Amino acid sequence: MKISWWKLNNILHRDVGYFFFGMTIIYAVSGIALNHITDWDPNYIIENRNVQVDKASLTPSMNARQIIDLIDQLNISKKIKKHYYPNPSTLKVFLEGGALTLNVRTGLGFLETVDRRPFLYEVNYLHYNHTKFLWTWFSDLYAVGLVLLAITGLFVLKGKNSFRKRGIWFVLAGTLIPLIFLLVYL
Amino acid sequence: MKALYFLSISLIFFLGCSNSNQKNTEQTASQEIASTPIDVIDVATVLADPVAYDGKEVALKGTVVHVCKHSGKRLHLLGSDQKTRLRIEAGEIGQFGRELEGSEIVAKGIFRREVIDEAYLAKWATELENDGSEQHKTHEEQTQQQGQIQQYREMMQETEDGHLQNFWVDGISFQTVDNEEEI
Repeated sequence: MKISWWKLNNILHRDVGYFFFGMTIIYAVSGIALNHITDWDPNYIIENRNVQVDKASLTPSMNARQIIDLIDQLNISKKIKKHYYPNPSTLKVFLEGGALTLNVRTGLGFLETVDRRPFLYEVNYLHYNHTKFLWTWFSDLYAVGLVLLAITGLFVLKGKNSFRKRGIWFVLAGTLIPLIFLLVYL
Repeated sequence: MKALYFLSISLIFFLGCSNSNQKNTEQTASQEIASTPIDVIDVATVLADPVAYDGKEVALKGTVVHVCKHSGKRLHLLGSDQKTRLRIEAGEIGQFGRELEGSEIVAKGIFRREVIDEAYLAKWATELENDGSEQHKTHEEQTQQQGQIQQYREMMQETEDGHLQNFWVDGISFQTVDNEEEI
């Protein structure tokens, strides 16, 4: 049986592309999110708002019951985890997804809510390889798959749009850009 | 041909899996080391006698009062006295989630103690000078670190024994403990 290398190339390109569709989305989306890590928090939606409570309701050593009343007073629906006094004038209440910080002398403070960014948190988790074990190998396999996709992609088309006639210029341009950055910044 | 193709794909994947099984065994071994039974102690206990715990594996119980917002690479653990705090570096753990703030955890790791004395600061200053001449550091970084050295010197003058100590734990593993406040 005569093997058609061109056909084998296209089959490989097609099926590896199908197989790694999900991985490409995961790494591309989280890649953009993590690329701008200095501009935003890619994992959490963090909101802060100033609050004011009746200072008569604050004492230097409040018990759990008093903390619940305080949280109710502020209409916060989050569950209380723990509270403590970082210093004599500050009360910190940790909530499920946030924290309340209050000045016990003035009743002024702020509420910080922290919620996971849906989808992004999960894809970033995978991108960072927090799961380790098998994921390390599967993501390595994906990287090999990307190399395979890149190489086989060069030879998918024949004729006037082939690598030799058209593709080469795009490959050169796309390779030249990172090289220019290296020359300028390295 | 089709069967051969799918066989190759499966083979590649299973080769990866068999290697990862080997890796898993190594990982399990390191987890076993991490899970060697040691007494769970409070942050304050360790800091009361840091020399005795220097370089040793500890299991510390405390409340997470801060997780590094930018990297998640470290957190601060508060002792039961509600005053003593200790930094836990993520190390082998990788990263700490923001959700841990306010949770009670038991963190296992190696306790580290660093003594900052005049010799330490002199060495740091010399290295900084050499780095500056070799242009490894920016002027801003140099100025910042020089300020830090000066600050440490001032702090040292206020101590009885003429040195400062820096403590932290290189994390190996951790687990959360149910800590809902009792009413």
